[in-house]
Amino acid sequence: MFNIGISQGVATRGIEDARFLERCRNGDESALAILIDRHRARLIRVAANILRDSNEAEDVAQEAFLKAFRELGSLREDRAFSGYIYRICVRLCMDKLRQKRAEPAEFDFVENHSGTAIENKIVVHKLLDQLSPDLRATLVLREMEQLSYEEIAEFMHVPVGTVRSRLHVARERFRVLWINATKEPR
Amino acid sequence: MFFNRKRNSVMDEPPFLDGLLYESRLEPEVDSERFDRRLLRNIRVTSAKASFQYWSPAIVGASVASMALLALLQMLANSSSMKPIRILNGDAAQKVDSITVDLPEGPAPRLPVVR
Repeated sequence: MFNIGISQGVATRGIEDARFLERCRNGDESALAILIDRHRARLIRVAANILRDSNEAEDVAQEAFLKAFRELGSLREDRAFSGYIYRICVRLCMDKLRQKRAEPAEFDFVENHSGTAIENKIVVHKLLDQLSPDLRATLVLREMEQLSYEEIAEFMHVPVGTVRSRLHVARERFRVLWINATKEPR
Repeated sequence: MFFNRKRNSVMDEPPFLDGLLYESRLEPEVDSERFDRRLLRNIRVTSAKASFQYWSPAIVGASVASMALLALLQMLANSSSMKPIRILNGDAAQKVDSITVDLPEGPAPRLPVVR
C-alpha cells in the first residue's frame, strides 16, 4: 500500500512538473519559481550528502538548475524533469569529487570512539572521502537518500546491474573502513 | 491488483550498519529566498547572454549593411556637389615642362621644286 502511494505521488509530481515546464516555456516566471521551490531542498540535500559540504552543495544545486533550464530542449519527456535535474546534479557532484581526488585525505582511526551521533557523522564524512566518487555517490544515494536501484541507475546514468555491483563493493569497503576506524588500537 | 511498484526499494533490505549512514546524513538549512533570488538573477543573465549570442550575427550583419549604405549615400551626395571640369576655348590644355630640340647645324636643306 505504501509503495502504491509513492508511485502515484511520483507520477503526479511528474505531471505537475510537466505543466509548470510548459508555463516556463511560455515565459511565466512564477512557474519557474514554483519548479525551483519543488526541487530546491532535495537537490541541495543530495549534493550536500555526496559532497559532505553544505556551501558547495548550494553552488552545485544552482549550477544544476541553470544547466537544466538552459538545456531544456534536450529533455525528451517533460514528466521526467525530476530525474533529469537530479542526474545533472549527481554528475556535477561527481565532477567535483574527481577534482578533489588529487588530494586524498589521510585517516587511520578514531581515538576513544564513543559512538555519539556527532562523532559518527565526522567519522562517516572522513570514511566517505576514502571511497572513489562512483562508489561514494552510489552508497550515499542508496543509504542516505534511500533511493531504489532503478532511481540510482537513472541518476548516475548506468545500468541497474552496475548499481548493484558498485553498491556491494562500496558497502564492503565502507564496512572494513568503519571497523578499522572504530576498533580499539592495541 | 496491478500497480507500478517501485522495485529494489530500501525497505526490501536489512539496514546497512544499523542505519549508520542514514543517521549521519546532512540536512542543510538553506536560505530559500536568497537561493531563489540568486538563481533567478543567474537565469536572467544566462538567457540574456544566450539571446545576445543568438542575435549577434544578425546585429553585426545589419550594422555592416547600414555602414555600407551610409558610405554609398555620402558618395552620391559628394558626387552631385563636385565642380565640373571646364576646358578654356574648347582646346585641350597641355602643359609641357621643358622641351629640348636638337637642330642640325648649317644651312637648311632645300626642298625640291616640282615643275
